[in-house]
Amino acid sequence: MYPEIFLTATICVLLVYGAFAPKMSTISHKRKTQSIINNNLFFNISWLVIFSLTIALFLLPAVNGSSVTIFNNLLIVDDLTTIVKGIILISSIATLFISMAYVKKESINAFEFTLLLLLAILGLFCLVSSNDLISLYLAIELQSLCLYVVAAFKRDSEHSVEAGLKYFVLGALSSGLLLFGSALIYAYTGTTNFDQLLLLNLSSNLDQAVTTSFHTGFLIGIVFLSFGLLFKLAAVPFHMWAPDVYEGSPTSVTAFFAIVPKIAILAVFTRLYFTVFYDIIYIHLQSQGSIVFLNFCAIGSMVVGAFGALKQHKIKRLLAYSAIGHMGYMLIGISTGTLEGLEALFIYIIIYIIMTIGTFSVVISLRKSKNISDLNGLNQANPLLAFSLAIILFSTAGIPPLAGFFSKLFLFFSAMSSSMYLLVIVGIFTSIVGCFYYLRLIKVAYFSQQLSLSDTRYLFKSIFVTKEISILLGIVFFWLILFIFYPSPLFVVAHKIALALCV
Amino acid sequence: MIELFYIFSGLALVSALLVITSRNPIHSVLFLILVFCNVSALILMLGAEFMAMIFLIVYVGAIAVLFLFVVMMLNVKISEYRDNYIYYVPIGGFISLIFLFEIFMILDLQNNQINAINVLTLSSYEKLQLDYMTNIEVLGEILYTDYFYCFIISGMILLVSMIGAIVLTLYKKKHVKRQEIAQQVYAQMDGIRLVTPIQK
Repeated sequence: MYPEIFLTATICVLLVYGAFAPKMSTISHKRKTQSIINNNLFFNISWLVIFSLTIALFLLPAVNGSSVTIFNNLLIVDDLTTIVKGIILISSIATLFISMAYVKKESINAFEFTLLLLLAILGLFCLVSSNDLISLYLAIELQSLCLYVVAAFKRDSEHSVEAGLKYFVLGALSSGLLLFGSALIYAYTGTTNFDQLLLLNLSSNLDQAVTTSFHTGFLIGIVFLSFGLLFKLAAVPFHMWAPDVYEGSPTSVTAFFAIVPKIAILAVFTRLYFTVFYDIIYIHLQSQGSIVFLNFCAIGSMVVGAFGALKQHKIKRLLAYSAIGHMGYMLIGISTGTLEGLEALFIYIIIYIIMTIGTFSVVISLRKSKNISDLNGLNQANPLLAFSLAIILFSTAGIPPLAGFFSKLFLFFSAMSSSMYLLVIVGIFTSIVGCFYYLRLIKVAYFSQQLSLSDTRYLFKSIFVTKEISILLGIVFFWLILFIFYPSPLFVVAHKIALALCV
Repeated sequence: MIELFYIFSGLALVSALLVITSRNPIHSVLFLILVFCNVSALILMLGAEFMAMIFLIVYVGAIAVLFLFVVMMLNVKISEYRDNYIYYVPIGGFISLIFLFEIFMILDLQNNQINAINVLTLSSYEKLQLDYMTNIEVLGEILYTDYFYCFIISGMILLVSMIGAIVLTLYKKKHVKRQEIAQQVYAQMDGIRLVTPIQK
């Protein structure tokens, strides 16, 4: 629990610092203008947040296979939570570097931005380790409230405000569904605690009388709960918000949306599906075909992600559809209901996070990064950036020697071994379609018409890669290429996560 | 007792419907207040008198009155959204039919078992507490001991909403003169000039 407590304290201290520092500095340096002071303040606070996230990384407890529940069984700490929290911390540090680069370019002069991201990270931490429906709901609200505000952060821009409002209204609806599901579960079991629910499900496995007594209402509760979570994951029937929100909100916020929250929500989703409701979902209902809705979500997400992205002209919209598609692949891992599926899921999401960090750090480096045609002539202006973009996109599309190929491979293997052939066929088909639009980006960057010298020079000047971004891109680039030679650490991590859930 | 339940819940449903359908926004806010009053009566019937009072104070006393205030301030004209009304009926009706069907599906089968399972989870100690302590005592005892984590997280959520509201609405304009208290206090004696009034 140390990282959470530490982060809470950090938030309070930084909030006070941010509120009072500008006044102090107006007194001491009268000549500086307000905007410079605000800008400095933003960077100070961003660096402090990065430092505190690094410290939180060291504070993560090493549990090594055991699991501890704390706070009256409201929270749980085990290998899953520790590893996922570590991944959240690392990816959010990367996101903060990205957002700093964005602020250098666009100047959002408000230190609250980073603090809201920190609060969202705190919410994600609580979400990952929640062991009760109440703490689950509160954590989800905490993180999504931060994200609503952050989505509307560029309040001068109509798009950003629209994105925030849309996200807020639809998010409130999904929270309502989640709460309704929790209420139904409570009504039919009398408990909100995950451990007790698990016990109840196990006993229902033994005793036929108990089983029949709570099936329908309890099941509808589970379904509503899953709907709420699937909405946050932007899986298909609930994906409508994603393209608009991704497009409208500032690019650094889009990066945060795409990179950080998904793994936390997936972690809690898998905890629900693989421990708490495992018996009722995968054993009782497998025969009745009730897991069909998860398969439907997976197939739908893959298809919409592939075909929706085809005719997009905006980069961020395209990335949103690609995120939906990837979510479809990840849901395959859940719907297999096996240990291999779970491992493949976590391998997939870690590789996905790394690839998305790469994509967004390229996108943020371009001055104009709205339309796909803005990538025009990138190869001439900055060949290195173009090449790393190409490698990252090849990996996202799943071209063999790169990391993205293996993540897809393992998922399809796990689905094959639990004989879900339809999912595999649709997955392979949609990833072929997906290749097309990733390759189109590369084609625009490389093989568009030759720019004149002055245009190239202009474009070269407009590309601004900060030092942090370049280091980040380098790490991502080499990781993606060299993954094939030494993949075992990632497998160990994924295996540890899967074991923590399935014991 | 059951008649009272029907009266209150029926009134709540009818006035909830009127909230959506009435043309005048002020009327709909007033109906919203009526909904809250009925619901708090329902909560009172469950024996949770503290929750009922809080519901009245918070929702009616604060939120609904704030709504009313905003609606009156904004001077919203009676909007002409009746044209679209028919347009949304089929899809809305379809969705509500689905939910109604679900509710009947649940209620038919397991009406009896709900209470049986619920009672099982209350320990004898908790039952004793419920009998001999007032509502507010029980609530406080649970909230500040067993569920203090939830209490703290709710506090963080409120902090987020405060920061969010400030960030999204506060405009720092450059040319507006503000009172800078720190600067006033900081001002030294030599910064002050004595001005003699101009004599004619």
